[in-house]
Amino acid sequence: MPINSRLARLIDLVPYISQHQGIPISQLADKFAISKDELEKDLWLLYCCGLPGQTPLELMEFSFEDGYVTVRNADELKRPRSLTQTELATLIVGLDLLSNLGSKPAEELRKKLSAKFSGQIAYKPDQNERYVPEILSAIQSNNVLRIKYNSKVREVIPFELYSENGSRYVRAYCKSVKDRRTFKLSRIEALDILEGKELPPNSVGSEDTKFETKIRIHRQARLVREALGIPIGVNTSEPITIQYFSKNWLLDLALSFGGAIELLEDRLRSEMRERILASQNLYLG
Amino acid sequence: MASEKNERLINLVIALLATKKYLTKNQIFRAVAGYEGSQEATDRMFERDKEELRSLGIQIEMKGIDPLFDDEIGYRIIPDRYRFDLGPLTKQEITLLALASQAWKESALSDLARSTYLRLESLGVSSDFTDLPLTPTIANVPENLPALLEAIDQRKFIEFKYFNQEDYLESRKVAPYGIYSLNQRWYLYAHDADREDLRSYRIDRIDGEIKRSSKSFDLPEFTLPDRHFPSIQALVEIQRDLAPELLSKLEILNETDDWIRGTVEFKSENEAISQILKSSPNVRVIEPVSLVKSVTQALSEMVALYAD
Repeated sequence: MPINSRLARLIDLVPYISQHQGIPISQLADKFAISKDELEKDLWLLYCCGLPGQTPLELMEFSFEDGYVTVRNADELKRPRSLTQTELATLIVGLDLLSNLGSKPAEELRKKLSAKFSGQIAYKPDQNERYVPEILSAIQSNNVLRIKYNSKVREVIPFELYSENGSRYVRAYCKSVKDRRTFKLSRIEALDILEGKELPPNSVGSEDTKFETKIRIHRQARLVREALGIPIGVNTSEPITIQYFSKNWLLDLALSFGGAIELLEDRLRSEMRERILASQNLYLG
Repeated sequence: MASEKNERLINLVIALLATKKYLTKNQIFRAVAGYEGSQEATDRMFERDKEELRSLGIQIEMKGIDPLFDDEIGYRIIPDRYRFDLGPLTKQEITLLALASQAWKESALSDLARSTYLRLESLGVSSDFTDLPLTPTIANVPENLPALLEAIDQRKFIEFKYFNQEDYLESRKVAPYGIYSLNQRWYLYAHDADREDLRSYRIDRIDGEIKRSSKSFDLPEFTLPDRHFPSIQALVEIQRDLAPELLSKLEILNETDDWIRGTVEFKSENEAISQILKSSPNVRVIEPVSLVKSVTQALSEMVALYAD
């Protein structure tokens, strides 16, 4: 059964207010990520609830007209409700993430929680997760990062962290090339946050240009679709048009798939042929 | 209507929490406003209410209350089971749990994570929630993760459509055992009823809805996989400065002006083949022979493909 999120919120409001008596109504609305109007509707509804009999003696007593929320006579609901199995699972995964960042107490706490969880769940952030906290904090506070990437040291001002096809990337303004660049986290060899703050220049260099070309998929259609970001439902038994930013990226990709995909454009085919023959030569004789 | 229902549900929770003895259905219907209509209609309403509360983790206990006949059932909510209780928690542990819930804040489970977080804040243990350090978030959370967790908890068979290797949708019927992540992907570990075998399914390759059957299964002892394929060591030569991705993984043995020789560990044989092809002709694999064979075969195939 899908979760009745309003009911969950109504029930969660009571212990929250009990612990934060006199909280300003707008602050409470922010906490629960709802508007002030929605919150007032919730409070009016709760106002009418209480023990059987539902005379004023039995009802929960809320006050919020002056902009500050208090509750009385809510003994039954004043303790927060227990965690669901799904919520336990999310906490276990969150603790996995923290213990992977080196938190010993998180590891201990995970044991406590998994004893209460009926299933099994495990999360293992990999190489991609290295440096995520540092990059996030640099983005937030406009810090410059010094990174070692492909054995070269660069100073960059990061502005976006994103995931694609299971890898994490950071978009940054690179001070050495004076242009925006994308860096794959798993390939960052070292990272330091530098002193001082700096903003990336607003309009820098060229906008990224996309090219189009046609390819044919011979096999492993699922992997190819995922690697190229082809939408589900496109007929992959016919030649299809794909978009790419860099020719070298496309050639690398086509090679890595062996014969599973074929580039159809002549210009690209001759470059592929060159690379394939040169590669084959390495193994002759 | 919806708010009347929520009002009834809250009153029901309060009544069942407050009672020291088990209440019969008719006692409940008299005490809690909103159970109206025929006996059949109110019975159905009560069953749905029970389900709805259960999905929020609120368990209504049942017990036969007539010592002579067991057809009279009583209901109540036991306060100790209703309450958030993970045993005594230190201030630091509560902060860790708050951080753990924050890791989901941009995912399909953000509502749930918020609720967890707010309940932690409602525990009354003074802990500093105002200045939590910035946490990384869980990457690539699939939207159907909650549905899968629910099925795992209920020990019910599920059915879904799954993209096979050639990208066709196939129906799978499985007993879901557990969930794990590997290399930034989420996997469902399950027993495939038709193939009679344990399988891992990448959750983002499941298409559409996950249907839960009413049939249950018994969960055997098992361990979640921590890898899918044996890793493979390869001896390679790479051209200096031309294959940075491989170079960063290389255990260097010796080098000349142009070439660097060393060993690389790949996550699987397939990964090794595609990584080596990708950097060709700036890399040559020397050992193992099986890998050399796979790479040269792929190259021959491509020579034919691009012949004209």
